[in-house]
Amino acid sequence: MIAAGRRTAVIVILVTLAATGAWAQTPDILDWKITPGHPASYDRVKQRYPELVATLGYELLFARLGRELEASTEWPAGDPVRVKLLAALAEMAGRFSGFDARLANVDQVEREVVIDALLDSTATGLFQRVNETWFSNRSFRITVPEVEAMPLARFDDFMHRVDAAERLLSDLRNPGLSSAVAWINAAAGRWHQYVFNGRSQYPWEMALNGATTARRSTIEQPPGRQWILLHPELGVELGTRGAGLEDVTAQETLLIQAVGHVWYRWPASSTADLRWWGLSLSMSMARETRPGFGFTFHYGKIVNVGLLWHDVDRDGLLDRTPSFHTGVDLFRLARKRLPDWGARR
Amino acid sequence: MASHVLFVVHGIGQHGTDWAEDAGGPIATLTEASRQYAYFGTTGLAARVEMVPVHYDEMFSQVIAAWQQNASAIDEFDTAGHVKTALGWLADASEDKFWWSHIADAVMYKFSPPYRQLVRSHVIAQLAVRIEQEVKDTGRATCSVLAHSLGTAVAHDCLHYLGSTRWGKRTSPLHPRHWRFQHVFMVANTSRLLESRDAGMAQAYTSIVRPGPVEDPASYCGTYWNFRHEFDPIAIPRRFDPAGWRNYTLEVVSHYHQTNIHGLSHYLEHPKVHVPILRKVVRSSAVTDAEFHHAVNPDQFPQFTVADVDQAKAHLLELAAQKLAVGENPTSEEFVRMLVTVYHLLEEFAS
Repeated sequence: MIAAGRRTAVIVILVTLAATGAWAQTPDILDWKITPGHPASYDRVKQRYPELVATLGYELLFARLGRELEASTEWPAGDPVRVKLLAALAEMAGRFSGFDARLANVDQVEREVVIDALLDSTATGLFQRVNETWFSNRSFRITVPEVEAMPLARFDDFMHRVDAAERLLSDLRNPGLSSAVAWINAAAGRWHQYVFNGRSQYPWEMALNGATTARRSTIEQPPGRQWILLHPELGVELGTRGAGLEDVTAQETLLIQAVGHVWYRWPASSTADLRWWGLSLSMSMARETRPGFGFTFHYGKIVNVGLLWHDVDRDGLLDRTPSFHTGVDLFRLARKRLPDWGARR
Repeated sequence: MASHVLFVVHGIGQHGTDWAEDAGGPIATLTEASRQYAYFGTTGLAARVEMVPVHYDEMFSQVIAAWQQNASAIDEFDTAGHVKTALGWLADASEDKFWWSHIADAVMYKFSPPYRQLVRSHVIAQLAVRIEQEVKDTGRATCSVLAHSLGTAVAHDCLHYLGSTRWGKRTSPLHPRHWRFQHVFMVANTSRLLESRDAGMAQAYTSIVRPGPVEDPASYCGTYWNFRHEFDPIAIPRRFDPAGWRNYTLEVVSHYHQTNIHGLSHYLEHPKVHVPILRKVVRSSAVTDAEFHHAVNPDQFPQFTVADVDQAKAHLLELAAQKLAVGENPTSEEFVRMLVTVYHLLEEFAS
């Protein structure tokens, strides 16, 4: 009777273990999850040391985390992983020596400057696990197989401790990370503006500018200047038969900007419109008139205006009276704004 | 939720925003390859790794579309043919055409700094936004990069800028002293061939894109893998062969399972390529040594799987001849000619 009862109890225990998964549970770093309320978890650390977290008193905070590990009953004193983790926590505490004092009595702006200076002088990537290793290249290096060989509870405790340390260091870096990402997005926006909303470039102009003006640019800031070279575009030459607006005639022409230069004015915001102005020597080729020579003033995408001189009487000399020319876009805009004139053209 | 983000950077050719997810693409190939190993029978690859396609081909498409638009407008007007010779080729520009889809983006990346910076800034933004998202969601970012062909040069340049630039003149938390990539996998590596001297950029051997321990300011990843096909001429000129790097591995393959031996998926089919990737982005024990030896056994993974082996060998010989012809240090013109010839060879043997 008693033996039967024992058998039943053993079966119940085995079924319970199998059902909960505890039977098969061995430490697996990829399946590890934070246990809410675990004393070594990031959330509980923040609850225990709210002031140190808020003031970034990381010297004291990492020292306390080390002392908590020393006091933990989960770990035998001589456990090699414990010894190495203690060394890492102590090193981190040492790096933040005096940091909280530098942060005391500073406003938000100065606080960012102090943190930036700290990140500039102090490495904070120690707790990042890379290539299945913590603290690589150190005497206190810990590997994943080492950790997964520990009893489950100790493994879980270790994971909570390194997770908390890594998150605390992330908290320190996060404002800077958001700022860096914002700058990165702005840089991408500026290069997009330069190539697609700046003065258009044909391949040979891109090559020329690549060899000249773009050399002074950076990944964050596109060029402030640009060469124009043998750039064909459609334009409109305007003539006049009288003094009134209704006497203006227009003729489509092929304008070739022989050589010129453009200066950009980069807006502070990467989403604001890009502006530029420039000047180029121009040549026109229309179906009904002889070639013209002159110059074009460029202002932004729309405004391309200038003067052209032709050899109308074919005496080998350019006439003294120039004709006015404009880019197609400005001409179309003018026609839209002045429909009566457009209709009479 | 997957614990490892693998950025996948494409090479030359046409690639939409979801390019990596296409049938026969790298995600499908890697997932399919993983299924032959017991670990992935119970745990699918997607449960462990999120593959994030990085794309920049749309930059190229937009640039040539703008050229094509400008040139076409003039072409229509220019009935007298004043600039026909100069602009006719641009008016016809389209990614549907071989030159534009396969050659021009590599040529533009090599020779046009504004285009290079446009591509780089666009790719860096994709990487940075995703890394920041990971940090916000999980408190950490565990990321690796798998890049192919032109994409290896793009990835190299972007990682160097990402980790070494003081964005907004401030210390970047993405500097290698604070954070680093886990692994960099370069397939048909062109990062030396396409290296540039732009401001803030470093050469392939001296940049931070090299393996090293955490917090080392001179390195930006834990391990660096270089995969090369013995008969793929693209990765031969100024080939990437660093000396004395720790945690650097070169794997050379020579299989012929499709005519496009340069293709990323063709590389990934080989166990010598996909096993290190799976082991590194999941865990070392995900593929056992016994499974690996079985997978690379010629009985299991023969060099040729195509119907006409003689034709395949003839193709490899032609490619080998190109490889020898282009040499170690080709001029720009020789390099472009080699690209054109190689892609014609791939097309010719595919048909």
